[in-house]
Amino acid sequence: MEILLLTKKAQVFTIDFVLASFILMIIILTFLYLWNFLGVRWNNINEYNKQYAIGLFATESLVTNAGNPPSWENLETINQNTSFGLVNERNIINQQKLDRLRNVSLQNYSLFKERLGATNYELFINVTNMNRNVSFYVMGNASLQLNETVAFDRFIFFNGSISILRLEIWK
Amino acid sequence: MEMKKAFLLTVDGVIALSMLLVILAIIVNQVFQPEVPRGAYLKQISLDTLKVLDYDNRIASAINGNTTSARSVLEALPINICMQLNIEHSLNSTNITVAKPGCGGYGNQLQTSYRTVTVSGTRYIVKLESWFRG
Repeated sequence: MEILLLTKKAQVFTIDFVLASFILMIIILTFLYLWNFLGVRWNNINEYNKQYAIGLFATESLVTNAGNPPSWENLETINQNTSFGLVNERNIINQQKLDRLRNVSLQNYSLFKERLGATNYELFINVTNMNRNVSFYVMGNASLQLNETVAFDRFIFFNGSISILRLEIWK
Repeated sequence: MEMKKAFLLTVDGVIALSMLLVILAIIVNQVFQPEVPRGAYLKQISLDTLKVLDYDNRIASAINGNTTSARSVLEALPINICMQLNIEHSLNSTNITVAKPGCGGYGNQLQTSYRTVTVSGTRYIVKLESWFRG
């Protein structure tokens, strides 16, 4: 009688233990899944922020700076020390600089991206009129996936009228 | 009797632990939420707007009664950005307001930029309020 009772107790304990372990495992797995989900989400946001910052600085550099050296558009060769800027006065586009930038993008797209700080991304620049229905300059690679593209529109004064410089950065 | 107590303790512990983990996940998600720094872009495009409006004499046109040309620039802004231009003169009653159509009330990340403009020898203060559409 006493032996039977002990056996019963042991069986119940085992079932209880197995059940508890199973529930605990489900909880831990759920938590790990949730943690991984959050990690992926944070990584995506961080990646987006990085892409956003590069685009932001690239457009700011183009529409507010002359570049380095200031007459870089007259250089015979663009090297690693050259930085691009399209203006002599904030927002007022120098067409020679714009022409040269387009040539660089056509001749050496990697250098074009690198000097704008976007080595690991793709860049597309489009200069249009204010209504965005006439395109004056196009350079770089356009993205077909709009959801992965971050775009920055900046007002510029080009060719006697207010225009828009749009920079798109994507991966 | 002892078996029942042990079972209750396990359930109790499991519930407590699951609640703890879920709450921890929620807190971590709320605390470490990276934010997209959109304010810098809003400031940049606001300064662009003031510059091109002034450079193309559209602020002067607005002071002289034609606000259409200034409004057309605001209409060309990206769809998620709203702006309202206010031209004031401290000594006379000039107070002109030009707003982007379809932008009622202030939305997110309201910013204010100023520029002084001289038209016909008179100095005006141009205030540009910008925000993201809510």
